[in-house]
Amino acid sequence: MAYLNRHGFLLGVVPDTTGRVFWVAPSSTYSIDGFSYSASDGNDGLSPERALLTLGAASAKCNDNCGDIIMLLPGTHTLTAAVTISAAGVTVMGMPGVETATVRPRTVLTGSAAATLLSITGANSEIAWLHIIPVTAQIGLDIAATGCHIHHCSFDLSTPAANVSTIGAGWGSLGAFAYVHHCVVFCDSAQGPGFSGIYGRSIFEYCTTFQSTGTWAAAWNKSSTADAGTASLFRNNDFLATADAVMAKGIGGSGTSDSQGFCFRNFFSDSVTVAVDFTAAADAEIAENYQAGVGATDGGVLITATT
Amino acid sequence: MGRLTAYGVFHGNVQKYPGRTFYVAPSSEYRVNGRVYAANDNYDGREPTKALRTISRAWALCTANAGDTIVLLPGAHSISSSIAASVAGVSMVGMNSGLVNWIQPRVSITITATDEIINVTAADIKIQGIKFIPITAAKAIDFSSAANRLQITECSFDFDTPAVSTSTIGIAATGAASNVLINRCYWYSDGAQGLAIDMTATLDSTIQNCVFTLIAGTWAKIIGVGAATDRLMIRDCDFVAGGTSTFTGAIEGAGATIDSGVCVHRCFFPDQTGEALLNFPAGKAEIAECYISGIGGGDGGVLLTDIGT
Repeated sequence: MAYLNRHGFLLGVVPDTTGRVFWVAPSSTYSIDGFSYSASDGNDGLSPERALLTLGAASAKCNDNCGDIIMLLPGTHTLTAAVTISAAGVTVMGMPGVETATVRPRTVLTGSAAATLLSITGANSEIAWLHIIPVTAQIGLDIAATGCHIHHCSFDLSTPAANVSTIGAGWGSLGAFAYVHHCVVFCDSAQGPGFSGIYGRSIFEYCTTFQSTGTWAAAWNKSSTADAGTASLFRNNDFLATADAVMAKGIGGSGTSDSQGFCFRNFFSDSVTVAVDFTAAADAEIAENYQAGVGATDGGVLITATT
Repeated sequence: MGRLTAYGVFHGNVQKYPGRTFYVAPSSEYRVNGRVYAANDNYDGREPTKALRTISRAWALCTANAGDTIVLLPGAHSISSSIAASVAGVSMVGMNSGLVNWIQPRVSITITATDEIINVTAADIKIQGIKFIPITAAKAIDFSSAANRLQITECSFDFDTPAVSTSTIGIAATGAASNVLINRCYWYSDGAQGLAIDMTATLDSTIQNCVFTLIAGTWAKIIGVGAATDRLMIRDCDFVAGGTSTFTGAIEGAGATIDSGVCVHRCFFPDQTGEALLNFPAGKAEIAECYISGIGGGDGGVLLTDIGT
């Protein structure tokens, strides 16, 4: 449950919930209200002063569909192995403080082993307010469940060494009904997609993708097949690539279903080679997407191709 | 009112109204703060640990226009008969324990009888953060002429689960309610179901920021505009049809009787739409900045300039 400290503030703006809130510290020693505490997986984790040391220990305590929340205290949480979020309806979040928007949350999630950071197998999970740095050649969030809700997260694909297997968030089987919004992807080299394997009937909106340099094959890639992969909606997103960068694809699609991706009102930098690029032209439908004009020569050009 | 517990949480602070909050559990046993409790309609329902067992009992305990809120605890709520939402000014909210994923809320309601899930017959009722799974050939929500200022927001409607039937309907007006708002709702279907929203006879109402998704079959009509519908605004809605699925008509107006009775602004429709606006008698609808997407690009989307008649 949310927590009222002696100053009367609800720490971390914890959502209203009837579940438990498990607090996780970024290191064995951490500070709350100016006092130093020791984190331990032997704690119950139910108050900031009795924080758990590992995200895995918190995940193991969660129950299905009762509003449990894992709250990661500010700092860098370095996982030593993949953590599975298997209980349905669990929220994993950093502390948003008083922010209502961000391009880079203050709570960092990364890893030291060559492994996925979070493997999400519980339906209706929520991941929020985290800056996620995948390990080189690994996936940050590996999602194999329906209804995953990701918001106010940033994905750092600049820190890992360049590798096309490095992916921000990837959807495997059963990943339909994802809802991703107000997220940011950063990249400076030939990484894998920020979002990959996107499943059907999902919505991606109000996200921003920045590329500072290098050549990036696909910022996002939808790769699902058959009916389960159809009818995802990409709307109101922006893709920025500097003049030194080459973003070969903005929204890519490598699946085989007709009309699997609907791209409405997305905007792409001039440095994006093909803004919407699916395997077959009929795999995508587009309306009111624009590619910006350098020096405002044209004021932006309506995108009319999907390959 | 919001309630401070021993843990410092403001239970029921969801709506920030001065009324009471009634909690309803999805099952006879449920968890609060990690502990298992038994729900019972003999409780007062005022604390999560003393939750009511049925949604209907919560409605029976509410007082009209006092700011009461019914909070549905997370999980799948199954009801055996329709909920009579007959107390004015009540909010019924799914507890989603975070920002609502409005395409798949963590709280759902199904019904075992062939009837609507909720029958709204009072004013100023708000419904938020709930996934509705209607039974085949029935409605999820219907509302009468008394349901003025009804708000339905951040809800989803599962049209996959019911068998295909054009009598399966999401939200339906049964009278001339006014100031109805349907906001940020999501429909998903895999076949020839009935209307997602029937706004026949409503006045001064708005449908906004909704998404309608089809992945198979032919969905004939999505939003219905009927006799006496007047001053209906449909704006910023997206319609998508994947694979080989099609919409016959996204917004259907065969029964429209009021000149300029509906305005459609900034809505986007898939290429697989027979007519974005279908069967409207001349002069009954207005459109601006609506687009039909282009399959495989080609045109990059075409400004809608035709109101199908």
